[in-house]
Amino acid sequence: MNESGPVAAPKPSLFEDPAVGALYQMVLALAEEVAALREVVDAGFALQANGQPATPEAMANYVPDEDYDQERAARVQRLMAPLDELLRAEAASR
Amino acid sequence: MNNAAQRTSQRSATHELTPSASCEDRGRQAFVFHTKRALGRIGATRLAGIAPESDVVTVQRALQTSPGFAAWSALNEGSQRQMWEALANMIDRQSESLEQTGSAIDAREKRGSLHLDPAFEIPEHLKNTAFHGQPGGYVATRGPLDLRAGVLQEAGGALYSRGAGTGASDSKAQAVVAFLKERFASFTPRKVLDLGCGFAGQTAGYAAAYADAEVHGIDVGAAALRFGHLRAESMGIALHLRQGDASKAPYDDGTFDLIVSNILLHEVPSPMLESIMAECHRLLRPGGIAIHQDVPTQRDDLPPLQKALSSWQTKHNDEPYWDDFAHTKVPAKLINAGFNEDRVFESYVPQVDGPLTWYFVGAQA
Repeated sequence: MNESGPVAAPKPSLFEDPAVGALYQMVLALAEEVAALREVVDAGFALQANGQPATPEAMANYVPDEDYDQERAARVQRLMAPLDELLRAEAASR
Repeated sequence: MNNAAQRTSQRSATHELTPSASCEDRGRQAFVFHTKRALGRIGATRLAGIAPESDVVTVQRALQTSPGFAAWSALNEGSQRQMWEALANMIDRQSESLEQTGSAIDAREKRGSLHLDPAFEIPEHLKNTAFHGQPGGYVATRGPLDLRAGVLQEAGGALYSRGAGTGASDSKAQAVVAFLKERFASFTPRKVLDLGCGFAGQTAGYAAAYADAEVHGIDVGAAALRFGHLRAESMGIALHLRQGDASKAPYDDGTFDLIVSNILLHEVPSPMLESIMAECHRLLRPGGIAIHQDVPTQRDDLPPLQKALSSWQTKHNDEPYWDDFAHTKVPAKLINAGFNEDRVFESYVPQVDGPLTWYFVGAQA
């Protein structure tokens, strides 16, 4: 839907080569898509394992347990690990 | 305050106008939440290593030349955009049913009131700013039943703050009320005004805390106010909400004995902040209290790295006045507005449920 009010302002470039910035955004968008699809697939399997049909309503109402949230966190942590390593190495070289 | 009343201003508050999340929505929002948590953790543990503490200028220079900081910034920017996109998609899909629910609430007997002004001129700076990236900003309105700006504000505020480590039971209003109880033990307001109340989540918290008070809220955004009015009615809370400019508030002199604002001051240009302080002085009864809760950026003992990261908000997170506010001495503005210096106070107060510290500043008339 088109915005009828203000939209986020353009941000200053963070990288000498703007393509690097674009690549970060592409990776993040891709990771979000994977996370969303994974949620749907896992909910469907969990419902089936309980003998319930995976209807859109059942999937929306399905609430994963805390262990599942820790799995989500671990997947994001793995995605972010190279950033953590980049900053750690940079600090070590100073 | 009973538990149900307490929840009205908490991050976890739910009501008839809370949009429902599909399985896919939940996956997207959980991804945003964990990304924000991870970036916050990495920032807290690693950035000090690349920007040794000396002074703000040196720290800023170190950050500007750091490839790792550029990557961290890019991911923070992206995560913020993803947050709004995920929420906006969820809300837009349900806009018709949300509006229908809103109309059904509107048809019931009311406890409070809503005054929208079709002739109201939205201040230029609000017309042009999508604060912290919120699509459409605070002021976009898509018709007489539109609720989107308010729904987005509540959902975005909750997801953003949870990502920053804030707990589900946090409430800015509860923090203000607890502070007032401690500092002004015998003070019980009868008439309260919440400036820049937005979707009136905190306004509802003041109404719950001061059950015998008449509670008002003023904001520029019609859709946020409409949502706030219906949200409060749905929760059984009487609020009197009005569209208007907090720096030119349409109330008589000496109307209120408590005036509050939550996270408003860092979102207004300096001249407007001065006018807001003048309005607080005009609108308070003798003995009344004005108290403003905001980000703790002007703290003198804030480490240089934190000051440098604070500036990041201006350039990278659509917070055009964040830096100005960090350098504003609000007590001086209150004194200039007419408050007695001896009755001006400022304090740094921990969140009710979370790791952050709030800045409280105000004065007694």
